[in-house]
Amino acid sequence: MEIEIRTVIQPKPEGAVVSAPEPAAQLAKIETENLCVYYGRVKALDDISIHIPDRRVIALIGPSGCGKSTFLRSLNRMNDLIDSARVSGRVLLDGQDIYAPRVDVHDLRKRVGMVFQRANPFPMSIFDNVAYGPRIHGERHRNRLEEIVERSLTQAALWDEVKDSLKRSAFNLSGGQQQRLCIARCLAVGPEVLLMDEPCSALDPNATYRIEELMNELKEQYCIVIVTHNMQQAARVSSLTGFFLKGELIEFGDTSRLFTSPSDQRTEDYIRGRFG
Amino acid sequence: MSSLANEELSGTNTKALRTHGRGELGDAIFRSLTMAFAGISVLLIVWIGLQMYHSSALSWARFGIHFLASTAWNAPQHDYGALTFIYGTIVSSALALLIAVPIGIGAAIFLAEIAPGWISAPFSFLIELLAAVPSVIFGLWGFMVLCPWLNGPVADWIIAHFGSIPIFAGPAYLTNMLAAGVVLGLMVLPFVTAVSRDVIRAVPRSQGEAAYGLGATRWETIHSVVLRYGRSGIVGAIILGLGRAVGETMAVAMVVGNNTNISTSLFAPGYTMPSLLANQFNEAFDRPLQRSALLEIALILFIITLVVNILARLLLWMVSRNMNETGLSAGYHVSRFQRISSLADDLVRQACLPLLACGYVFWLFLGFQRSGINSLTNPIIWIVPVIAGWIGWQNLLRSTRLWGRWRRIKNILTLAICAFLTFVSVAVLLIIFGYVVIQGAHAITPTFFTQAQKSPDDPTGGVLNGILGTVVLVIIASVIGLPIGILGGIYLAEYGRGRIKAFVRFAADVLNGIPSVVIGTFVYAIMVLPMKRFSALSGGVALAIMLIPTVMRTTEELLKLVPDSLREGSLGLGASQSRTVIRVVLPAARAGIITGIMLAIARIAGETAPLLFTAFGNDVASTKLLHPISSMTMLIYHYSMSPYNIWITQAWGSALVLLLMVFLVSLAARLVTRNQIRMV
Repeated sequence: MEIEIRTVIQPKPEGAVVSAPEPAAQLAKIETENLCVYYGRVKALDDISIHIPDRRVIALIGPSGCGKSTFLRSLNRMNDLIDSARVSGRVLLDGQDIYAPRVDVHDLRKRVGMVFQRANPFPMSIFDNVAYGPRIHGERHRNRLEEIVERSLTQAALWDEVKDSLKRSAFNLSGGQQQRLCIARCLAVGPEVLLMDEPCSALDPNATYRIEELMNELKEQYCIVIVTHNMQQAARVSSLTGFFLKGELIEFGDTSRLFTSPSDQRTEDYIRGRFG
Repeated sequence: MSSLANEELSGTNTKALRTHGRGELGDAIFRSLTMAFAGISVLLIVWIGLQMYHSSALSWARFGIHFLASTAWNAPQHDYGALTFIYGTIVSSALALLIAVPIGIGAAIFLAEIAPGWISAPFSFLIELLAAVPSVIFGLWGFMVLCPWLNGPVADWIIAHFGSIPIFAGPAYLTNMLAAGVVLGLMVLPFVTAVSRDVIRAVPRSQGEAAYGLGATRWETIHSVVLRYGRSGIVGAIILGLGRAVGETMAVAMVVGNNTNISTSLFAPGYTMPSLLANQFNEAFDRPLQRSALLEIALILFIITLVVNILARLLLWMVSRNMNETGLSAGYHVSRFQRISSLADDLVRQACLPLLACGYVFWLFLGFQRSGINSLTNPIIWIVPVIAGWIGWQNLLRSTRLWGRWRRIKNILTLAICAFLTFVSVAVLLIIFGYVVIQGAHAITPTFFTQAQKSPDDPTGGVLNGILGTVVLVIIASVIGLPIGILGGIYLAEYGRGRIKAFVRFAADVLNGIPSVVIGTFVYAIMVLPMKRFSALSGGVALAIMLIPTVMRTTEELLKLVPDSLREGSLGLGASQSRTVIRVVLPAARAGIITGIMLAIARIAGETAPLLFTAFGNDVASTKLLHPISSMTMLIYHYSMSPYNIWITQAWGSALVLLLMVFLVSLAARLVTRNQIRMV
C-alpha cells in the first residue's frame, strides 16, 4: 500500500508515466506522516500518510464525515481553533514540520491559504477585502497594495468585473464573484498552497465552471488541494485523487486511473455510487 | 378556519360542518383581550408623554424655550431653568460611557471569543448579576466607600498632576461629578457587556475563519473582522447603555453632590435631571410653578430616553435581522453603513488630524510662554508624543523581520487586557457584595425584622415598616401588572402578526427603557395629585408600569420556545386556539415564565425612585392601601443619608437582605431556565 502510493504520486507535469524515481521528499510540497486527528475521544483521521506534489490539483473525495475536511484543515492548522481537536503524527511543508513547537502558525497560514465552502467576504470594500491579508502581514504602502490587489484580482479572473467598483461593499457581488474574491484575497498574501473546502458547493453551474477554469490556471503556480463532493468535478480538475472513508485514506493516486480502475473495492463501490 | 368554510361550501359530506362553534366566540374574546393588554404598553408611552406635556404647561408658559438655556434654579424668586441639570446629565453619562464602553467591550470580547465555556458561563452570569444590584445599593456603596476613596488618594493624585486642566481643578468635594460618572459607569457596564457579547457571538463563524485562514492573529481577527461585522450592534449596545445612564436616579442622587450651579471641574458637586427630580419633587408639593418646572424636566428626560432607546433598538433590531438572513441580503445595510464610516475616516484623516496637530503645537507654545521649561512636567502634553511614537514604532517594525513577533506580542497583550477587564467587572461585583455583607451583618439582630423604625439612638429599632411596605407594594404591582404583562406576552407570541406585533414589541422595549423616575412623576401626576395623598396604591401602580414590559417580553420569549408540534397536536384534536394556549402552551412554558416573573418582581422590589413621590415612605409599619407606605429601598436611601450610626448600619442591613433576595432569585432563574431568560 505504502509503496503503491509513492509510485503513483510521481507523474511528471507533462503527464508522462512514472520515469526514473526521484526521492519523494524532494518532490512533495506537503507530506504527512502517520497523521491522526482526534475530536475529544473521537478519532477523525486515522494514520494518514500522503505525499502531495507541487503545482498540481489534488482532489479529495469521500462521503460526508469521512474526514476529508478535517484532513484539509490540519494542513494549515485551522483545527487549532477547535478546542477539542488534537493532532498526532507529522505534517511537513517543504520538509518542515508545521506542528513543531516554535512554528508561527500565522506565517504558516500565510503560506498555506484556505478557501471555504461558503464565500465569506469581510464586511468591507472589495479593495479592503483583498488588501486585508497584506496589511496584517505588514504592507502599508498604498501603491504596493494597489499592485497586489490588481494582481490578485486578475489572477482570480475577477479584475475586469470589479475594477470600477473596488470601493463598493463586497456583499454587493454575486455568489460566484464573492467566491472568486475570496480566492483573490487568499492569493494576495502570496501563498504556496491553496486549500479549497468544497469551494463550489454553494454555486450555480456557470460559477462553478469559472472556478474550475481558474483552478486550471492557478495550478501552474500553486499546489491546490480541493475537497469536493462532486466526483465529476474531481475528475475534471485534478491530476491526483484521494479517497477517504471513515477517517482513513483508502486510496490515493492518478485521477484517471482511480476513476477507471480503482484498486480498492471500497473505492469502486463509492465511485460507482453504491454508497455515500 | 377558512378551509373549514370551503369544505362546507363544496357540500360533499353528508354531515354539514358547523359554522359557529362555541370555541370561536371564546377565541375571539381571548384574542381581543390579549391584544388590548398588549396595546397598554403603547398606550402608556403616549399617555406618559402627553401627561408630562400637559402637567408642565405652567412652566412652559412662563419660561418658554429659555427654560432649556437657563442655569437658574431659584425657588424664592420663582426662576427655573434646566441647563445645569442637562449639563450634569450629559457629563455624568459621558463619563459613564468612557468607563463602561472599553471595559464592557473588552469583557465581551473575552467572554465571547477567548474564554472557554467553563469560564465564560459563570463570569457572564456574575456580570449580569451586577445589573441586578438595585440602584440604591450602588448609591449606598458609592456614597460610603467609593466617594471617600475617590476624594482621598485618587483626587489628590489627579489634582497634583492634572490640576491645571479645568476639568480636574481642585478642591475636591466628597460627593462630586466624577463619583457619579464612576458609579454610573459601573451600573451601565453589565448592559454594554451582555449586549456586546451577544452581538459578537452572533457574528458568523465563517468570518473569523476567513481571517484566521489568511494568517491573522486572534486579536487581528477580533479587531478588524468580528468587531467590524458586529459594529452596528455594538453601537446599539452602547446607546442602550447611554439610555440607562441618562435615566439612572438613586445612585447618582446619592453621590453627585446635588449642587444647582454648573462647575467645570469633575471634583465639584453637580446635579443631574433624575437626581433633581428625586430630591425636589416632594418639596414642590405646594409650589405649582416649581412642580411644573420639575415636570418639564421629567418631560425632557422622557424625550431624551425615548429617542435614545428607539435609536438603540432600531440598531439592534437591524443587526438581528441581518444576522438571521445570510450573505447577500446583509450587504445593503452594511454597505450603507460603510459608506458613512469611510466618509468619517476621510474626514478624520484629512481635516481633524491636521487641525488637532496645529492646536497641540499652539497649546504647547502657550504653555511654554507661560511657564517655560516647567510646562514639560505636565503629563498631558506627553500624550501626543506617546501616540505618535506608538504609530511610528509600528511602522518601523512593519518593514522588519520582527513584525511577526511583534504581532504575536500584541496579540497576547491585547487578549490579556480583555481578560483583565473581565476580572475587573467581576471584582466590582464582589467588592460591592463583600461590603454589603460585612457591613450589613452587624445590623441583623432579632429586632431587625420585627420592629419598625424607632428613634435613631434606639438600637432595638428595625426595618419592619420597610419590609412590610415592599411586600405590600410588590403585591399591588403584581396584581395589576402580571395579568397585563402575561396576556400581552401571549399576544406577542401567539396572536400577533406582522407590523403590529413588531410595533407592540418595540413599544414594550422602549417602555422598559423609560427611567423609573419619570414613571414616578407620571403616577404622581395621574394619581397623587387628583387623590391629594401619597398612597401605597399609587406606589404599586408605578411599579406595575415597570413590571409590564419585562413580564411581557419574558412571557413572549418563553412561549416561543414551546415547540409548534405541541400546538398542532392540540389544534389537531379540534381544540380552539385559546384553549390550546391556556391548556397546552402556557403549562408547557410554566416553569420558565414563573422564574421570569420572579426575576422581574425582584427587580421592581429594588426600585426606589418611582416610590419617593408615590408611596412616599412611612415611619410606622402600615398595610393600608390609601396611606403612605415605606419600602426597603426608601429606608436604605433615607437612612444612609442620615447622620446616625444605627440608621446607617440598618441601611447596610437592609441592603444585605435586598441583595440576597435579588441574587437568589437570579440564581434560581438561571438554574431553572438555563439562559432562556435575558437577565439584562
